[in-house]
Amino acid sequence: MRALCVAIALLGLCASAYGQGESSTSRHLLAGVHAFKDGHYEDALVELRIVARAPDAPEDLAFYLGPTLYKLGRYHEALVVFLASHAAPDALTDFYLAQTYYRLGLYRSARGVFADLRTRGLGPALDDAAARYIAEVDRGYASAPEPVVVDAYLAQGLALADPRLQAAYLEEARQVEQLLPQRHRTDEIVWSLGRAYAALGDVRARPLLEPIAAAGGPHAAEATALLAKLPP
Amino acid sequence: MIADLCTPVAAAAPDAADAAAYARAGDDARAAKDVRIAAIAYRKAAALGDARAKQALDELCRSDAEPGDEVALQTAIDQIRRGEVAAAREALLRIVAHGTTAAAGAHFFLGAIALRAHDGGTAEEHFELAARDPAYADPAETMLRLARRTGRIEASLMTGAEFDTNPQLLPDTPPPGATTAPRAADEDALAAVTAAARPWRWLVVRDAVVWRKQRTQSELDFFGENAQAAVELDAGPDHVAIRYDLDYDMLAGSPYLTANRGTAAYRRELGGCDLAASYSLRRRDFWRTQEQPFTGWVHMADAGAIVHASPSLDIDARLVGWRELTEDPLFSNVAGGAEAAVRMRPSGRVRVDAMIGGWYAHYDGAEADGELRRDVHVEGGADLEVDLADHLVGVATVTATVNESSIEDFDYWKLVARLGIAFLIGGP
Repeated sequence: MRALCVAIALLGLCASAYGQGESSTSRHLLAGVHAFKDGHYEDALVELRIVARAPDAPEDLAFYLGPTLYKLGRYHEALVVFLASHAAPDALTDFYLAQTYYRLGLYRSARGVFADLRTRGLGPALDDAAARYIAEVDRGYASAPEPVVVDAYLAQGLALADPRLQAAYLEEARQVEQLLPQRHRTDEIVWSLGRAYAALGDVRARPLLEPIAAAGGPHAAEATALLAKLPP
Repeated sequence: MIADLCTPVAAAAPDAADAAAYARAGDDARAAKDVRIAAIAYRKAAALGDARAKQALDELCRSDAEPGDEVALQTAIDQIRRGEVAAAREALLRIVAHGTTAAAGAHFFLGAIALRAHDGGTAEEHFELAARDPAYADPAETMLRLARRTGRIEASLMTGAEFDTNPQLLPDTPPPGATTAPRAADEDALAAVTAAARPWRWLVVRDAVVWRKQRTQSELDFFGENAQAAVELDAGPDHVAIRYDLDYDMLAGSPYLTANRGTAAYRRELGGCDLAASYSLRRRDFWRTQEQPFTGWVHMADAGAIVHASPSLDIDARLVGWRELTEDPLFSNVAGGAEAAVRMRPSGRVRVDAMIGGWYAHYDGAEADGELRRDVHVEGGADLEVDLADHLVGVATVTATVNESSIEDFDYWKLVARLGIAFLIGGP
């Protein structure tokens, strides 16, 4: 609860900066922030969608849009917004990102973001909350997971159409697999994850696809082609 | 789901630019089936004076007030199964107007209704729209092929080859001696042309010509002409048909048979099954002296049920009976039996019809030795149709007939196998 209060306060502060101008985008952004603060998340979403369409939409729109979608329980959409954002890292936004991972059952990814946040010096309220989330995940993974957990994340990832969501679930599969005593579906996960990142033009595809291209296996030609399309 | 957003909109100071922005957000959300967000955006736009947004909001509210389109679609399908086609059509058109995800299903069944009414053009349009939804793509493609062969005018040309173990057993009554002469198998080339026109929905005029050229037994070369006019009346689940048929057959270039038949048929759809019954009266006039004893009347009736066991399986079971009155009482008989047919669609391109039937016939007149003729007749067959293209169908047929009689001369069996290809076209 304290985390929520802090989040709203921060959101309000940030929004005020945009409220100074008189542009239509600023007015809708401010209206969205006010609606969020009042708990009218659907109204907030409408305002922020208008902002998102505007040519002068702020780069850090994810800071507002992501939490709004999170509050509406639209976790997949929220995750896409957070992951697609090019804004500078922001602790509060990342806190929402971690919570979104957690709500989607992507616990290893959530834990990673919470742990990283704690090293960046959150305020006491958020730090406590992050510590509780981490402890919760660690309890769940106190013993090695079953391979079927990896299978489930892999299957979910492959079933999703959005490459960002695909990558998120496949990353989770990869992280959970690393907790297994032996390799389970490593090659499949790495190949699928490499393809998902490549579809996003994300250079994280490179270290995944390069060994596949070099190995000369059945995916080598496709991996080489995908690598060629990646930005340097 | 959005009832709380369907209250009157309080007007604010008009602002065309803001109203347009909200309206666009509403359009985006509506396109993404995000109904609540769309309604909120439209309300804001309407409050700022956007009339189109107000209209869109009203449409969303109307849709919301009605039962879910998925539920409405299922109800419409049930109505079609019960034969309440007009009501189903209205419901399906409403679903289409809402533009929800159920619209594809609605288009599919509107296509099926149009196909049933031989409106191939309309059916084609609906199936094309349904095919855009992956869930309906495969069945819609199958139905599209049928729609392209359907219309107020339909024609088909079938050509093929047959192998017949006993070609002297002609359709209708076998000529005298046909069952006692040594059986001689033969092959033949077969061509059939059919044309049908529906100038009005209730009237169908059809003509079918069959020509069969034997490879060796040219005295059995057969030409058959069947002209038909039918009145077909539909009243919800009730279907009545009154038909008149004229047959004119030739054997080896000479007239063989002229027959006139009147038929009354009734069918009632009950959901999972239909009840059906028919009665026909046929007058047969044989031209040649040797077939004259068979000239006369045939009263025929059947009653049964058609069970729609699954979307790809229909089972048709009937009791049949007839009274045949011939010039020579030796061939007059009363017969009764049963027939069962199965219609299967194992895949979108393949249809299989199989039937088996049997009856017992009791003849009026005694033979020269005083013995009365009693026949037990069994026949079965299977048709395989494979769609090769929109207008091209491959056909394979096998039929088998066995007749056991108390008079040895009338014991016979016959097997026919046919392979062919048919071209079908319909429109508009």
